[in-house]
Amino acid sequence: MSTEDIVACHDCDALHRVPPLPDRAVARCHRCGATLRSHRRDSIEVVLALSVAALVMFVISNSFPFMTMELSGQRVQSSLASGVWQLWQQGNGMLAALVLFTTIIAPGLQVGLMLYVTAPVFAGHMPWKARAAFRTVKMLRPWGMAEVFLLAVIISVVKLGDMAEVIPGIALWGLAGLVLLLAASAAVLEPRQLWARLESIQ
Amino acid sequence: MIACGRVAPESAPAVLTARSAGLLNCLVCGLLSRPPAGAHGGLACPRCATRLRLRRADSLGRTWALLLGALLCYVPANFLPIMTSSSLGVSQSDTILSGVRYLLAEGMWPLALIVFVASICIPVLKISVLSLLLVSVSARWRWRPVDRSRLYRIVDVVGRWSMVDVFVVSVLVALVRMGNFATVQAEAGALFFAAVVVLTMFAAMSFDPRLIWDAMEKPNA
Repeated sequence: MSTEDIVACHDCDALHRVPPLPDRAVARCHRCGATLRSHRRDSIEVVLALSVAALVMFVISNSFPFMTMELSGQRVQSSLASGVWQLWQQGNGMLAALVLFTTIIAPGLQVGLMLYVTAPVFAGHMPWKARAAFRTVKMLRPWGMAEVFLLAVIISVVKLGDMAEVIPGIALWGLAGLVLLLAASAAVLEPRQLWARLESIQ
Repeated sequence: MIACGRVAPESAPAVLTARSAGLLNCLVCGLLSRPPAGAHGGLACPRCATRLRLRRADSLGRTWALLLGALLCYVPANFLPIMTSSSLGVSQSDTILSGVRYLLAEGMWPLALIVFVASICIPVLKISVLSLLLVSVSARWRWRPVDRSRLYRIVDVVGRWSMVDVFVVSVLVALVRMGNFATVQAEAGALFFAAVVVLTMFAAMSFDPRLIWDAMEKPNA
């Protein structure tokens, strides 16, 4: 029995012997019900594919306006970054930094670092500083809030609805795509599998 | 078939844990490792180099401190306006609650419900659930550990959605900027509200759910 078979629950510390799991199976803690491990045969390949698509969506959502507002002849286009810029201009530096980090930097880093780790691993190489990069992905996860921002956009459209005409832009679709792809990637990613793979390449 | 009664937690057999087996569980990569004899602190996971600890550092103290900070910010977050909209010289300030009321008045009750849950229910629930968990751990309660673990997981996942009102302000500020005709200005309430969300997220991260179960293992400790 190798130590790989023994898993401690991260929520209650109970030790379990987890046999090799079949494809798409999930092992749960018998004591507190937390997910101990899951297995997907092609986890790394699928995450790589999703990350490539997510990168495209990320670039789209950041390079085009996501909404245009028309109010009696005046037009204002707004991109993801312009909210940050306007907050900064109004003297709300802290708020601007928070919005910048949670809607642009964290999702971008998440996608970028996942690609940086999975692409070389897929090809059988060990990327430089892979462990630090993958640790950062886990750390960033709670702070990437693209999906929350998307909900905020919908609420804003409703709030502006009776006052002005609001036209959704390409970036909004890019953002929606990014949200779906990030969620899919999080569902497919089995970190332990990737850690084991990183270890085997070393 | 004989119906099996549920085993009461008091009579449950002792469960072998990583701690009782002298092992350290890495919270980042999940590798179990055995610290060398006589080692004290400063151990790193052999696989991912994360610092290993038996339990999260000073979990109770840090979580209490962060919660207290969140509670202090919670009051101005709800009483101060989060934004001011001006249109043709007429300006109107909105708080978190008046934003919900506006959506409700517009007849958009599904959205009003979402914002009400995200901005009002979740922060209150988060602060009270984490306080309850802290008290239960400090007092070594043996009450429903499975449900308490589940509560912790829910609070940990759901917290980020409270940020929605802060983002609404950011979107409106970016879109509504037509000089004297119509502008939206972010106000101090938004910053306090963002602070509540960030502080409670850090509080949930610093709480160690394994403490709930530590109390179950050593009834007389």
